[in-house]
Amino acid sequence: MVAVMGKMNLQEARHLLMRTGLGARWHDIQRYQNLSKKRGVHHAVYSSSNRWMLPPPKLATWISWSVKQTPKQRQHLRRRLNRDKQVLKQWFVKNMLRTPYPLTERMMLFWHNHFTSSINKVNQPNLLLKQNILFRRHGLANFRQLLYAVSRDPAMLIYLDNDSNIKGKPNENFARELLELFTLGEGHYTEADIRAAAKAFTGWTVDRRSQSFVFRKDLHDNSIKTFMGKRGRLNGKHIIDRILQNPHTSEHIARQFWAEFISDEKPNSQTIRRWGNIFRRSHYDIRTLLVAVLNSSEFWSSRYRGEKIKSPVELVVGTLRSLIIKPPSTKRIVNICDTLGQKLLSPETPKGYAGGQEWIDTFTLPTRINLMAEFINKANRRDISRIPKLAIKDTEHWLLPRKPIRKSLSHALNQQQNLHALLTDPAYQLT
Amino acid sequence: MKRRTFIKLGSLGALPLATGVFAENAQASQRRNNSASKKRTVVLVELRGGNDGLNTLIPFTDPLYYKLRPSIAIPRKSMLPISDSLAMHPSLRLLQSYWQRKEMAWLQGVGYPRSNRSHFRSIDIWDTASNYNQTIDEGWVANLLGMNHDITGLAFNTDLGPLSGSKANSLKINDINTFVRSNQLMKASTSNSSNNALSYLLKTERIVAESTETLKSYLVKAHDVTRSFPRHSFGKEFASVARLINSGIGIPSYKITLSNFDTHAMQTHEHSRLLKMLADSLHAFAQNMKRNGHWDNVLVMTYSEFGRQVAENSSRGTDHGEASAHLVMGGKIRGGIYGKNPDLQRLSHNALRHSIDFRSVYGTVASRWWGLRNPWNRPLIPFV
Repeated sequence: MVAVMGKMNLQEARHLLMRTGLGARWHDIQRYQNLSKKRGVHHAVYSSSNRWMLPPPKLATWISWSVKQTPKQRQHLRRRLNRDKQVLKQWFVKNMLRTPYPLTERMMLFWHNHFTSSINKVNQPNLLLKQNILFRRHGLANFRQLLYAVSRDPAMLIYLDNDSNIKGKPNENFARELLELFTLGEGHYTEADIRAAAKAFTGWTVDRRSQSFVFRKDLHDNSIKTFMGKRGRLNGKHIIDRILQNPHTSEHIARQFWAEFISDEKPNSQTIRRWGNIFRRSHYDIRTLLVAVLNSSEFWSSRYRGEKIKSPVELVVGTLRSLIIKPPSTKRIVNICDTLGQKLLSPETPKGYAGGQEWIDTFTLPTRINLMAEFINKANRRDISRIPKLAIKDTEHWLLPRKPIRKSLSHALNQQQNLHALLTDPAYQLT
Repeated sequence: MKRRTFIKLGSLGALPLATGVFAENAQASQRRNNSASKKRTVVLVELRGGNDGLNTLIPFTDPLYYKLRPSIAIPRKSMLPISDSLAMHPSLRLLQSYWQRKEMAWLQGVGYPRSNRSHFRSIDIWDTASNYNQTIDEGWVANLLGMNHDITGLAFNTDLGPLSGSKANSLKINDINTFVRSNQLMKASTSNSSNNALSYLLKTERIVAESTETLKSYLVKAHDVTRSFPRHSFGKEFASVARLINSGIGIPSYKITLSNFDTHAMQTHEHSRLLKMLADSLHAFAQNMKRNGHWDNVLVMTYSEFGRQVAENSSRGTDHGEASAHLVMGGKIRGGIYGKNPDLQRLSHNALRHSIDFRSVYGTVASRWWGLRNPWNRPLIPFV
């Protein structure tokens, strides 16, 4: 495969699509092969719409949860709550399966894993839906605006207990995760900074009736605080503005982008500093950072090709989308992601999933491989017959990022057998 | 769990000795335990989220306890006194008999210097026995046990944590039967790769293939005992541990996790529910081990990334703290209370200071239980 006129070859086009989308269809790979790397990156980043989503489900409002009288009514409400949770999770999965703009879904998933909130603690599916729409809207826009929005997001405020962070008795949960997970990163602030930030966010809470953010002046601690060298009657917005002046914030996000788009291996600190600078100088424009990451020599380096472990969503949704085979029920896909350790809308800790090798253990690996076998074995004949029949080399280059570990494909086997061999090969777990 | 080394700072200087602990010649204990140690098992119980030690083992005679926790202090009349100054949380009622028979010990004020209040950083420190400013790749148990076991450790439904290590053959399993059934056809490739991710995948495949065989051959020797355990998933995990110990497979370490201890808000009910799950499961497990003659070869210990702050917050909960109380149980445990009673006057930003370094606990397990060399230069605690 020789590169013509700076156009991407098959593996390069595949790489770009796999890392910025959810799977890679043969048809899309061919389309991208007509572009240069630079044009391809530009197209991938700027053609994604932040407006597309399936019609959001109708979910009960908060008020309806607070009526509870008889045990029977309570039980009824609990059932309805669980149904709403399931409905929302399925909507989440359907969007990923059907979207024409997979980068938007990917960024939504990325920010959901960065600014985690669990539906099980918040217990208001409608607020999680609202938060999800926020990630879609801001996911490829401006990080400052995203932070402002997240710090006023009802689901977030409830998840990290800021709805009960009040004057005189601060609750540090939100302030701590804001500094540790969302912005500066561990080690770049003091415990005194956390206490000051917690005070600054007192009174940032949620109004139950309107189900939206409200600043309660009467619960706000308006005293003079010192946060990272800044002194004054600081409130939450001041805290965020101060945090965004600190280069550690942009570098923290740059590091997350490295892990999302480049590699499970540790990044070079110069690269992170470079991307951090680009991000800060662009006034935190997320697309600018993403374009810089995708145009970097690291992104295209063969060193980082086929050595990143697929997330459960990349594996499951990616396979179904790449091969265009009829998916199992969305309920089952939600369960599969759960089992493989990526609990959609209910991450186990506020840190979200570390990804990489943490996806793989002696339970998840066999489960992943058995599942891929099942996808191929159970696919109907019509779907299989529509999968492009390519030269064996091309099929390998399409579906695997590197040579298979086990046997190579053979003309003696039929399409289904060859696909089975490819999808159950350990190399298929990589991207 | 996979960690990478970012900085390797030298270890810190000597640490102040805690009272109630003493140093022991590791070689002496090694001689004493050598034959028995082969069969000896440690069951690690992670209380994830940061357990509130102060409401677990309560200094009930200290007026500050009630003053600082007006809405979440445990009422005097419901708690279970075990000494003239300490009482257990009422949910731990089933553990009273073990306390009385001296098969259970409390370790108070367990923590480390410059305690980190991040869940994630602090559990890494506990899992790897690192200093506060050091990052280590290997879990402390994996490190101690090395390569000498077919299966080094087994974690049910949770990350490997202390059992994780590049030299160790540790398994993560959700359900033993399903594991054995669905991996019958798993093939282990002999190939290796210079690609880190791929070689990790291949290594995992190899461990699955080999341990499926081992598990299959031992499982026929032990019944499923789930029915005599609590029905929640934590109880079932304890039942799986019991079943494997009964099978004679000889896995030296197990890990299970009870989550949701991060009680920032409305903690009373939730904390009480969790401690009951813990006590009920521990009781069922101990009964089973006694019935099958393994109680003397088992050591159960709890751990958690940190304790919680002393004064409650505005949400009737508690924020991240530092030192905490932990329990150890087993037929060979030397019952009692180790470490100083919590000092509610001298707090570190509203948190308890530590009087026992957690590596003293690990060191005791290493040398006095397993008869291995103690790699941590900390005084031992004679709880076993």
